Amino acid sequence: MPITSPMFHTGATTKPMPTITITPGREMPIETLQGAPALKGMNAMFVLDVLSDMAAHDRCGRHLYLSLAGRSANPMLQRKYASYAEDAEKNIGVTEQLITDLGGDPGYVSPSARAAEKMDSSLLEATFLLEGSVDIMTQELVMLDAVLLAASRADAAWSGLRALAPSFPEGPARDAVQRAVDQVDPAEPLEWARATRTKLIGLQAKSTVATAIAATAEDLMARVKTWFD
Amino acid sequence: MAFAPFDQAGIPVEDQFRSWSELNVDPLSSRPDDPYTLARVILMNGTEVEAALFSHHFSRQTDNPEIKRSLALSRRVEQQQQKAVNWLLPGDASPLETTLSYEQVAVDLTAWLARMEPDPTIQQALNFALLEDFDHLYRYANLYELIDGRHAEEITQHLTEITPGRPTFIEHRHPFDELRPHFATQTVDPLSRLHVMTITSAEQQTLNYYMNHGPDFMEPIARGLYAEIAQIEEQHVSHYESMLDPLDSWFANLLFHEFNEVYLYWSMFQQETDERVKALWELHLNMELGQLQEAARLLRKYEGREPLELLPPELPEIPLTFESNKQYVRDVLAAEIDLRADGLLIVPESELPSDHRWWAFQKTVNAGGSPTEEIINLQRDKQGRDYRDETEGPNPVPALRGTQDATV
Ligand SMILES: [Fe+2]
Ligand SMILES: [Fe+2]
Ligand SMILES: [Fe+2]
Ligand SMILES: [Fe+2]
Repeated sequence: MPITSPMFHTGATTKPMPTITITPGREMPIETLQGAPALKGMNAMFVLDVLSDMAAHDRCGRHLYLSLAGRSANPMLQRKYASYAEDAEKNIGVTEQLITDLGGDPGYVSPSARAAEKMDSSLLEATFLLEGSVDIMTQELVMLDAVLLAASRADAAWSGLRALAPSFPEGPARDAVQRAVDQVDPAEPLEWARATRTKLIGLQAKSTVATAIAATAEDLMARVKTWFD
Repeated sequence: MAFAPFDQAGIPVEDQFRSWSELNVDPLSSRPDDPYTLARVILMNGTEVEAALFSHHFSRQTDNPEIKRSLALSRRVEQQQQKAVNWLLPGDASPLETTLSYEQVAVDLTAWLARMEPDPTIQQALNFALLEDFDHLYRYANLYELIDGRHAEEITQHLTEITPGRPTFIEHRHPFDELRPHFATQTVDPLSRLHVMTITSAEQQTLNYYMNHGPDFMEPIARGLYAEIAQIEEQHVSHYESMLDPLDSWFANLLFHEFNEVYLYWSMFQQETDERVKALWELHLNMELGQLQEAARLLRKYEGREPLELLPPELPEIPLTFESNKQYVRDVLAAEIDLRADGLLIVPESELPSDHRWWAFQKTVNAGGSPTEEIINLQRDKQGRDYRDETEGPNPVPALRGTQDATV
């Protein structure tokens, strides 16, 4: 099981910043980040920071998908979200392994990882904080939009890493990056989210249930449950 | 004897409501056998006020019916808890006497937290404000003698010394200098998180108390003293809350609040000497365990996170303890009286450049004198001395000794 939330009890570390105070023993020295031998010739600290934020995004992705799997009213969407949660967990493991292979600390949380977490948790919050003023059909669309945005960020990050692979030092480092990117298919969730969104928009645009004045919440719920059947 | 909060179901939140007669508890005596019983009441009142205020702020950010109802339910209970706790305060204690208890809490809570704090930056922040609240106790004690003719040691019972700290008029700093670095939620020792949350609530309640009770007095010196010290409590709230990590989500914060309440009631329960109050701490502990379960359920459902991803499975081993910290306070006073805040840093006054905003701010707010100095002058004019309760010898800072001018 990879680290699903890096915290004190999982051994998390972070790098010194003037605006942050770090518990003794939890500081990742700049020199250690800069001096990762496997990344000789590269901006090692930047690379490790980026990998940390990729892990953060997949960790948040796992939380997003677990939340949506429990909250979607549609069985097909529930199953899909649950399987993406499993994929996200696997991807966290892949990133952690890559960080370890490059001489980094998988528990290290970079500043960009913190920023990624803020963005992702706001995205997740957007799926429930205004739920009271959104009908249940639109609510499904809101959740799907969060998937679309999260998957698009993951796709950009993983394809970016794939493109960067040849720039890593030849040998174990480059091999490790190649091994990692070969295990992840970031485009699939993005394509699925795009296609499903189109389908949902189509279903609703042509639906008469949602426009019927007398439609009850139960009618709408019954409709959502049978989407894609 | 580790206590694992998530293994305990506690009382379901829906079953936590009490009748008015249960909330309208018999008050404590204004001179309880153990002054720290009053201290525990003051601390837990502040904790409940924070729980309710936090819940209100969260509720304003959402229209999700389930979340709003859950918050409303727990919040009403938090408010009942606040009544049951705060109504223990003795009705025959004047606002000034309660103020003296508030500053005793500030001193012995802050000193104990500082002693236990694993992060040196947070410890320094605690020490820094400790010397300021320590000085407030001295100023209010002199007001007490001046207007009531009584000695504050009746209330503090010699458990906390009363002597100048960092003189209050020096504590006024530019708002930019009251902000500290914050911990990172991922790397912070869970104990530090609890410490910062606890002291922030305590300072916030002290601020609220002075904001509301300052105008209770007829005497201009009393009104002035409360106004001046209330502004330092505002600085203290800003100082401590700025150490919290803004990355934590609403639900993570809700979980941390309930966990902290569990830790604090569990702590108060261990030490309470008054059996009746001890039973209240136990009841509230069981309520908080139920509230924690509900916060955990919401976190799981809406954020897909398990509470144990964010929190350790057990409470800290050592309960938060009210006890005498005289030597610790003396040591900090001797070593750190000359420290000042400079942006995010705390530095000796000698390192502040002569054009630092601290000087300009001092000049503005202390123009025409400061009530916290005036009270000592009035006392000296009237009694030929100021009031102190120095049980361990003279003030550790020579410039603050005896009846000479308390300014440094
Ligand atoms: Fe409470
Ligand atoms: Fe104070
Ligand atoms: Fe204070
Ligand atoms: Fe609570």
